[in-house]
Amino acid sequence: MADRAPIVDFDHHSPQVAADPAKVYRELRGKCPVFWTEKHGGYWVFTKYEHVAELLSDDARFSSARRSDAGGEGSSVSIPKRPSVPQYPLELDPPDSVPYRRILNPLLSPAAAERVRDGIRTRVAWCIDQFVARGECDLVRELASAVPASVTIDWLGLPHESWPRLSKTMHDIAALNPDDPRWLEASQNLRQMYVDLAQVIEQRRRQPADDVISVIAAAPITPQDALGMVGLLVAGGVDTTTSVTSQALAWLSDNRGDHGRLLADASFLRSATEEFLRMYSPAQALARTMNGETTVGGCAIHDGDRLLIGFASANRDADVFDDPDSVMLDRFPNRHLAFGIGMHRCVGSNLARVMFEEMIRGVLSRIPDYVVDTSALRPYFTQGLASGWQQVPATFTPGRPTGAAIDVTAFRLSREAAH
Amino acid sequence: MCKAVAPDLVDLSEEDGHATPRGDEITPDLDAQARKAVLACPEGAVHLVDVE
Repeated sequence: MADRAPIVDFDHHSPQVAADPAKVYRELRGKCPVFWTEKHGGYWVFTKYEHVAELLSDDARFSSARRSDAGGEGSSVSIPKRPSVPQYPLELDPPDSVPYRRILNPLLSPAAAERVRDGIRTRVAWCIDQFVARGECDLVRELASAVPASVTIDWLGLPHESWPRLSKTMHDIAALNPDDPRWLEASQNLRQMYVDLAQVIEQRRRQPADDVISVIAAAPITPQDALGMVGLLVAGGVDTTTSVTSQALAWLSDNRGDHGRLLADASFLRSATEEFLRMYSPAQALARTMNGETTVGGCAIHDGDRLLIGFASANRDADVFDDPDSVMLDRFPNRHLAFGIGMHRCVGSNLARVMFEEMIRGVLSRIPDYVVDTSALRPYFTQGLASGWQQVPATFTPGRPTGAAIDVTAFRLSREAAH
Repeated sequence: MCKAVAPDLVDLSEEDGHATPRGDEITPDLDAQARKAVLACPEGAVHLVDVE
């Protein structure tokens, strides 16, 4: 390790980073934007937009594929590696990733996401109906986690009644201390979920239904690969959407001047969506592995070196974004990297945007005087890879339920296609 | 993003969402949209070329 320099005593999972990741990364961008740390077996950290963009755009050198000779076994895109079913296409390099990506692209295209907007809006209305008469709620568990979890469950074609367990599981795993008994329970639930998913995939392979799991089950891939793809859709799409939505709602509670315009002006809401994604990037960082030898930011990177790519840090780079630590809802240009770029750009980004927009609209229209108890906001235990608030308690003037109904068929593929 | 800022210049595939330019030439009334598309693309995939 002697020729890896500069070396910084840094751990992206540390309490210091969890307390204020923006501050930590701002200091690193200023003093040492590319560095090596000996933590977790050793890895490089890239904090500047130019380097993050370079790494994300070159899959040949900066690989997403698993290599047991680099950091051991487990997920290639996290540091440290975690035992998991390989998630395809995320953990493949092109061209191997391309056939898997082709399965997912039509299911999550901008048009496909728009086709389920009405269903998502109704789901948001139903979720708000459950708490609107109380005058108080946790905007994370009762909305920002509930909506993506229930939409994902119905869209995949899983039993609707399983969404609360998915919501709690994904949020607890992302937010809590791994020593917390609730985290352990969530971890066990996640393992069971994969067992259940494998059974559903096999059922759909034999008897297809009108849902996304059937499309994946019918694809010319192994059952293990299908399980990894479905697992990716769940892991990639639930708590990430929760994270950016909850942080945006907390900010909007303290900044009320544009609430009306967000409701009245769709293009302003779109612009605001991108700004919240930039500011509150749910994926703080993901990992790659170096193939070959190269130099980035003046640092010699060696074959097999593990690389931590700071998406969220890049999105606060003052070389690219004016006043990067301020929210400007009409910011333009806004070339944020919250969804990544290149071949592994988040396939669920379009659906995530629709869910986010509808949740913001729902809150601003149904509980417009909501106030977040900022004293009760707690960040995720670790914000090394994901970020967010554990809970966002809010109070508001009680309202009336709309009577919105659960309609799982809103996410059936044939109904989408008929739209 | 390019479709959002340049709706008259970009088509999105219904199948996979890939963006393709609608035609080769930018008329003066669409110049502003074109320049916004260049600025908006995080992939750096949009370029304007002067044609004599």
